[in-house]
Amino acid sequence: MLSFAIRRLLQFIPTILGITLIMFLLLNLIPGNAALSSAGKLELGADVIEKLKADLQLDKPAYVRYFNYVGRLAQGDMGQSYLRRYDVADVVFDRLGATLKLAFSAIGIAIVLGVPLGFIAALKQGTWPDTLSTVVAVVSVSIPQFWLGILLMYVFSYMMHLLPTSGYGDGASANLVMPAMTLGLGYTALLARITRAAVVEVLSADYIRTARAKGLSEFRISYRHVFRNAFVLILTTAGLLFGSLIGQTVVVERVFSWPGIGSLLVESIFQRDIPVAQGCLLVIVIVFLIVNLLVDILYSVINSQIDFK
Amino acid sequence: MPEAIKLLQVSGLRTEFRTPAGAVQAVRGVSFGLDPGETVGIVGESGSGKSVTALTILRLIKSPPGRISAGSVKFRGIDLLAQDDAYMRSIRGNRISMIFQEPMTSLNPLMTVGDQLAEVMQWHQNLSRREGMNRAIELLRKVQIPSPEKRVRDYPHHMSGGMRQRVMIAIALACDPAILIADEPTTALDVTIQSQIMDLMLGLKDEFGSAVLMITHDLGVIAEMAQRVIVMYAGQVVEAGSVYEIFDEPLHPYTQALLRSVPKLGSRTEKGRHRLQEIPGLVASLINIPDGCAFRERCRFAGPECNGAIELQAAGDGRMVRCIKVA
Repeated sequence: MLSFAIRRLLQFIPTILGITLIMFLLLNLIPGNAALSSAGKLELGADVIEKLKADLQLDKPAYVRYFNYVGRLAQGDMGQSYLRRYDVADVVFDRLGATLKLAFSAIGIAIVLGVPLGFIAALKQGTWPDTLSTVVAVVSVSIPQFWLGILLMYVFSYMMHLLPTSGYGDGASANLVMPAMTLGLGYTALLARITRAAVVEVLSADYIRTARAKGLSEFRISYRHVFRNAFVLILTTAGLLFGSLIGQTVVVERVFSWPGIGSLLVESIFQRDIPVAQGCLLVIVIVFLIVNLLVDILYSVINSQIDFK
Repeated sequence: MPEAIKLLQVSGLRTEFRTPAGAVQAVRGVSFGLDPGETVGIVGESGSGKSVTALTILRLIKSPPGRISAGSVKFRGIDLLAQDDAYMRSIRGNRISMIFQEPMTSLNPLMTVGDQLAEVMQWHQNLSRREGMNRAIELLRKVQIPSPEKRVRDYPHHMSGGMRQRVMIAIALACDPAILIADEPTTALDVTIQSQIMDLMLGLKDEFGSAVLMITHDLGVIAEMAQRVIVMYAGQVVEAGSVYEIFDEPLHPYTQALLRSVPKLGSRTEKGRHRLQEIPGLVASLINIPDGCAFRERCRFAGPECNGAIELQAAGDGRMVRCIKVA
């Protein structure tokens, strides 16, 4: 299993290289650059702009800049912000902590609520709890996060004065509640649907009929036979979901002024601060890869049929 | 006259399934009995209701859409259809157990075969896991799985179809049941494995003394294992009798046709090659079944009198037949 993990980690290298190329190309296609945009505001002279460009190496061709970038990246240097001259790595990893906190809370809510809901819906297939959970799930998936976020703010902060409207609040858990709920609701619904589908599939399996023919109680069948098999199916989708969650915190982070990597990414793109945007994207991709690797490892721990080959 | 209480007495059993096209009457008034230690075969084509009959006995019909609408299943005089779920669970896998057709998918892929075997004994006999595992090894040896001490820790995907079916048999026999229902236990297996499994079942049946209800479309299996045969067609029993009587002198035109469709080794006619005869037509639809003989559309003896209701009638020394032309 260790050699499997190491092999997978080595496979990260070509993946990341490919992604840096695509990322670099796309970000450099954005019209305008940091030097020009700051110059525009400050009404700087042409000679100053030329000097700024030379400073930021923006006078060099794109391929030269790309190889420089990758070369520095290989040494662990993610470059410096065009605008503020700080090390990208420091800021990005600082922001990553806040995003991970938000993402883990959201996925926690989704697992704690979504999996049992889906399980109940599947066991009560075709009855009113099943129908109700379907309706709630469809509604929850359809609600836009920016709207839900503002609604929660209105109710819990403005009307009831229970929770702070926004901000990180130095990590206070009261500040985390609403962003995590906003981000978690859609995923709760998705996970409930996935769980329901998985459990329904497992319930119709021949080995469940065997378990019934053994005379086991429905409760024992559920926890010994249904849940583990359904979990294999749930985990696959939930893992992918979690990976994508990291990249989808943007909206919630904006709404709640959450100092995460998503809001940093949006800011940096608006300001044409390419190194920061690259850093954010790269970290999001790496987290995605690591999550998938962990899911694969967990998957094979649960499912005896997977060999590490 | 008062009869002795049978081990299993199925009477007037009816099972139907609700479908968008209408109610499918899969089992239409099936009755038969089973004595201790006896092997009874139920034969019929696909869709004749034999598997549904078996599942109905253990009340394993999924409801909805399935529904047991009439009849009784008396096990040692107690009607299983009238008991609560807890009672039913104490019977399933314990007093009456079942082997299914699909060995590849009938075992839980995420549990070792040992755990799946031990589970049924832990559940019904309150064994500890350790005792259950020891018994599991013993049972795997009885179903002739080599080096059972190692195999007990295997997962189903480590095993072939034949081995998995042996495990299923071991699970079914684990609690020394009074009745073993085998629903096409060899259909999904290779021919060579089929005969091994049949030999195994014959041997174990004598050792455990269980009565066996053997459900199959394979007349060869019936001839080898059963003492009595029940022939089913379109959800009804059309003929019942001892295996010798049925094979030597089938009464019902359907049974006759069924026997003619089986290849016999070395059988030839004067003209040389012997052609197998298939039964013309398709199995009757089980939705909106009209009165009268369900086989009449495919029967070469059919006449207008076959349109009326036809009862299962005695045809001498324990034989029964549902045909107006014969009785």
